[in-house]
Amino acid sequence: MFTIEVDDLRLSFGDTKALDGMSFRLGGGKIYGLLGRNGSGKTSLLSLLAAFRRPTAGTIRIDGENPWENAPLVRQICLIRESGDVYDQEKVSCVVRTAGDLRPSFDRDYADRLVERFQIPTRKRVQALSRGQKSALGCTLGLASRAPLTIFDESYLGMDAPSRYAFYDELLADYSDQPRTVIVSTHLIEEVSSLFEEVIIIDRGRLVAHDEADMLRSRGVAVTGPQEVVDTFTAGLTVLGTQRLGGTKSATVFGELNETQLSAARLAGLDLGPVSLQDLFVHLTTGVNR
Amino acid sequence: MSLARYLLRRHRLIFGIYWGIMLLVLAALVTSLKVFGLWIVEAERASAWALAANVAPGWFVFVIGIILASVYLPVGIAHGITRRDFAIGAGLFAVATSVLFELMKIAGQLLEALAYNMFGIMEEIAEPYPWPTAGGALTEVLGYLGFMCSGWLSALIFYRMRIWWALLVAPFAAIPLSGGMEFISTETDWSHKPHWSFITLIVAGSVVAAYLAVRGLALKPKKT
Amino acid sequence: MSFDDRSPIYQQIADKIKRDILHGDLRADDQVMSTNQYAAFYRINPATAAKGFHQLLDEGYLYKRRGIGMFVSPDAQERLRTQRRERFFSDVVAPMVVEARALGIPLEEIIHHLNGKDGHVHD
Repeated sequence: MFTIEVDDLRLSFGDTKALDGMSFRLGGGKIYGLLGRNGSGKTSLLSLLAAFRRPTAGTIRIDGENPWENAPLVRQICLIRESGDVYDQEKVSCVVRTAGDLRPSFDRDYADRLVERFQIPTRKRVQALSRGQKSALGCTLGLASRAPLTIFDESYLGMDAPSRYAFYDELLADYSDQPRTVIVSTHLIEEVSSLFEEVIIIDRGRLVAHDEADMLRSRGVAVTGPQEVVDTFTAGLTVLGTQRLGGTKSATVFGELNETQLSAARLAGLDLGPVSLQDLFVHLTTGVNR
Repeated sequence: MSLARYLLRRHRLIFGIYWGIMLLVLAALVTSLKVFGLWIVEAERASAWALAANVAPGWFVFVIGIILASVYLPVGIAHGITRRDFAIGAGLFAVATSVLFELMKIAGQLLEALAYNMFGIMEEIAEPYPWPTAGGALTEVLGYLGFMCSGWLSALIFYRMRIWWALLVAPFAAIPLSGGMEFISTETDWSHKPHWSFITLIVAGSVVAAYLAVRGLALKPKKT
Repeated sequence: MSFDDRSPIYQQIADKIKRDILHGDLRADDQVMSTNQYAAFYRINPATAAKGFHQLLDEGYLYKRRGIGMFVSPDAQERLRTQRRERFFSDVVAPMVVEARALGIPLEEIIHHLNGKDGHVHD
């Protein structure tokens, strides 16, 4: 299984810092979720992993090697971008054939089954497809690539809900059958989060959180009650955000509460609630609204 | 399958159509000679085919060079081919295409000679008939290669550079093409052409430039 | 079944299987779905499903037969019942009493209601 190690990774375009010193290690063989807002650096990071471009600084090691211009390694990596990297003027059937011709691990039969499942018209040119059909084609190519490292960069967002769920089903089925390292970047978090085993959250080019999906989910607590009581309780804790309605305040705390804290909260009459991964994500990352 | 083989297979149809058209042109020319008389003599040429089929293939492969770099390269990289491997595969394809086009041109020439003999045109022409020669064939292959390099380089310049820089640098991409022109032009008098070794050097240099032009290329996101 | 945010998904899976055992939907020595089947059915990561199953294996509610699958332990239902019985009064009855007091409902009315329901308290 492909391990992915990234060390102080940086990518700059002129003055813009797309990636600002990112480091993490993925053990491989899992379905990973990469969460981040628009402009957080998701696409840049994934482009670097797939050796679509070179980093400005820092190192990438996939299976122990630098993927840049590394033929035996790079043919085992498949990155599907939302816009798709196919020849627009080609017919769908041709696109699938090209993938089969150029990528050694590509599974033609599987691709044909997927094309049928997603109902992509095979005789139409890619240009003439709807956005949903283009996305479905991208997902088909990614799944059928059978690449040991397969990356979906928000490639299913153009699809309607039934098609998306079909994609999740296919992904799970194929992964259960033949495990590989899969990275899915998204901002449709609640829909996809149950597919992930590990989650990485990035924001403004930096790593913000990296944990098992279940662990991350349990790391957020919403503390609600009278304002002063909440403030007293949350003093010294990592508060990600607050909301006020009249005299009631709700604070989102990052970190698990121990038994003492839990009892203290109950005694104080505070209401403790869970925080969804979506909410946690919103609070951990900054956006235009802040 | 290897990239070169893949490219050759993909272009089967379009090469076939191109040469099909050229054959039709040849037929039309020979027929017109028979019907309207030896109008080509005014052009001081012996062969109508040499007139029609000398330069056209060059421009055709020039466009192939552009398409290789602008269409096939991004798709190749997306399918896990390194830039180096792609350049090599495309280079092999380029050489094969150049040879193929030269063979087709020679075939046309021989067909024309056959037609000339059949229709008695051969005795009537004033200039000596331009029979294909090995040296001539080789230089024309190099010429086509030069055209393809120019197409490839032009496409890459505009892909990789910002527009104003690209416009400045683009004329340099025309150099291999000019060298190629010299090789495949119908002007057979070599005395006032640059020496063939010089032109060969240009084409060789352009092949190296074509290889270097892909190094470090960053794949751009496509607009949906 | 949808998963909420109150506890880790693997925990919710383990709890659901325990509920099924308790209510008799899964009987002793019944085979449970494989983790992959479970994952596909509920659209979750197989590793998450596996974690839930492993917890049940560790706690002894399930046992494994190599090459065949996972099965409900014969004593699972009884153990769960005992466990739940122990917590019934603290987890179910006590909150009911608190709620009744808050609403001002006297205990006699509750007993009367329970008696009237089916004649006897024990079904």
